[in-house]
Amino acid sequence: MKKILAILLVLCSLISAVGIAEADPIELKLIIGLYSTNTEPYLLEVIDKFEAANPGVKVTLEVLGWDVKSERINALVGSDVAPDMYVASSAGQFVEDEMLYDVQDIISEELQADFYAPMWANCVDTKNDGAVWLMPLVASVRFLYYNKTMFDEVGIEAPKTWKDVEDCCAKLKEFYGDEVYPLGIDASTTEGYTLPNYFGVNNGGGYLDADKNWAINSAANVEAMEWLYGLYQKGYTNPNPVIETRDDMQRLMGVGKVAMMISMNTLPTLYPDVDLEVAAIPYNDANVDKSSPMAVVDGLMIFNDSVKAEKDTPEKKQAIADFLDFLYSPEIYAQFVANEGFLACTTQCGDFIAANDAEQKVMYDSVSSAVFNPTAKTEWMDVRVEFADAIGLVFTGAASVQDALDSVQAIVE
Amino acid sequence: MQLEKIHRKQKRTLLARLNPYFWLLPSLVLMGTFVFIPVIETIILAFCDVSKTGRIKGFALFDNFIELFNQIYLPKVLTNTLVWTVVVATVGILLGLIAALVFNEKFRFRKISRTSLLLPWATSTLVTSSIWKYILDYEFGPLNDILVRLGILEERFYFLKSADSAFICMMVIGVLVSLPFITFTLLSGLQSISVEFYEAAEIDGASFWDKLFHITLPMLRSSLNVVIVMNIIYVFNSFTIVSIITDGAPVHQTDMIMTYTYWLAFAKMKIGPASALSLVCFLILLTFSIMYMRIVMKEEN
Repeated sequence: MKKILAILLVLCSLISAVGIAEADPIELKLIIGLYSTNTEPYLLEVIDKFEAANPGVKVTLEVLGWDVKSERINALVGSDVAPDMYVASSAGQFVEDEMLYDVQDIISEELQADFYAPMWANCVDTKNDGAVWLMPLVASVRFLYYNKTMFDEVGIEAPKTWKDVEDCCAKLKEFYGDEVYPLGIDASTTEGYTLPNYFGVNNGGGYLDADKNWAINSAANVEAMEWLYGLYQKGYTNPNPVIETRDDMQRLMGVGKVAMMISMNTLPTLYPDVDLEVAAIPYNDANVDKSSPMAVVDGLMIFNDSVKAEKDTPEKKQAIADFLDFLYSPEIYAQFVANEGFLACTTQCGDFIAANDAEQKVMYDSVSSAVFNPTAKTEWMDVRVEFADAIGLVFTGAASVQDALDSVQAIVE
Repeated sequence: MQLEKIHRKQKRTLLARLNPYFWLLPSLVLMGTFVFIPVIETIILAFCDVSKTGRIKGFALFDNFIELFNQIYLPKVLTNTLVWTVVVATVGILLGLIAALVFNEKFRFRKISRTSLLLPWATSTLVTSSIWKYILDYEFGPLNDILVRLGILEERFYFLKSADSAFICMMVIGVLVSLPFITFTLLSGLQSISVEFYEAAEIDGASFWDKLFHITLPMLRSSLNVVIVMNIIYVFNSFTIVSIITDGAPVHQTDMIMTYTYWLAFAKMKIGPASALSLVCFLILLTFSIMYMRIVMKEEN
């Protein structure tokens, strides 16, 4: 009797063990910022489809507001419960603490090869053997937007060069007086850091030199910022760029108080009643022969198991690769970027969208000549914060452009 | 039999003695989790080399403090905090005292007036600050609109443009936000003063000022002490108003210790120096509270 019982017990435990093995799926976690109200429902739909096709894998999604996102991720990382995948604009702090996988070791070769070459090149961390910590997920391109009605009224064309900008500003100011700010700029802590990309680059400067070394206080950047500050002093810009953000400028553009500004590709959809036209970002034809648009890319990083409770099995890494292949597959990915008003970062998906949409095609065509934020540099976030303070000092008259840019360059040397 | 009785009595007294602690337990647990543990953690971080993600990389002794005191904006931040605390707390208490004296008198609509003073207290500072930011807005704010239409201003004034005017605006908001607490604490103190004192004083021919300085204020001392300590700590720790209205702009010229600490920790990701600043802040408040309590206790003895 005892023997039979013992055998039964062993059998039972064996069956349950097999049962557990079957019922214990690989769990993946993705944390992403709230781009729009579509973000969560659409990604949940994608996850459902993925789980149906991959029965052994379960994906949990957390969509966070931008104001709490970085604090939340720091808390998770601090308690060793980091998500597997996380979307952000920079990965610097996690790279310094060796918390990330080189995505090239995880994702499929097909996917790797599919990214737009300039976007991918911008992600390569040359200091760390060419590792890629943050793979492009969504992109937006910045152009000059102007109020066509106003420009027609004054009788001017969209400016191509810096000289044109000054002419347009002078004529707009003459025509509208103080009622309209000819050029809206954001030199605040929110987006002040974009100014070298908008104006430095289009004067032959920018954050990095040709060898990808920091060149924040280059002569071209100094000239560009001095020119911009000159426009402000002549009263051609919004009255207080140090505290007025791009959002503020967009609102003013929406009520016809700002005549032109550099903004992202979704701007015209926000104000359908205003006749907004797009043009290239003006350049200084004394130093460069064409305009470069600026592209902003948010990327996806994959946390390694030094910040997780359990070690990652090869199966789990494979599951991450499978999920990303699924997420980036053209139809699913195209819908995702369309929902959020972004550009796709892979050629297959980009071609797919551009083939059906002439307006979008212009955007995709500009990606090859675009300049990106130097997000692969680990000092990027420090530079960003420091630059905002420095440009603030310039616009409040507390520092010269040269001194301000020197102080930013000093933190990376 | 006798022994058992004693035993039972002892047991009861032990239980009785433990009884208050049992009731205190929930708040002790809460305080421990949300006050003491973070305080201890901050002290540890202040003396450690901390990475941007919050990992402790080793012991740093005073490195964080040295880095903190090398921050060029720190002197401005400290002066701002001092000016803010002194002005907002003093003006707040003076106005609060006047308001309390008024509300202590009998007049028509007293109940409605009292309630209307209480209502802003029920609104969170976040909401109040956001509304004020809108009121003060240069382009769309109603305040400019009203002032221009009334002819008080010739053209719109950019309240938040210069650091000075922005700071004054925030101090006004700071006073308005702290008024309900001050007024109601002082009002409850006023109501506990017996009417007989005033009647006696009136018979002796005391003036309004005599009554104020010789009856009201001395009798109000304990309420005033509570208000002064609580209000200074509250005002010193103000974060929301600055964070919403200017967030330190332009270039930290309107930053205060709390907002600057937040910026250091979460924008600059310098968690070590930010913890050091929190610790300095904690010590300032602790010293102030101890000094004040000692003065108060000495007076009472």
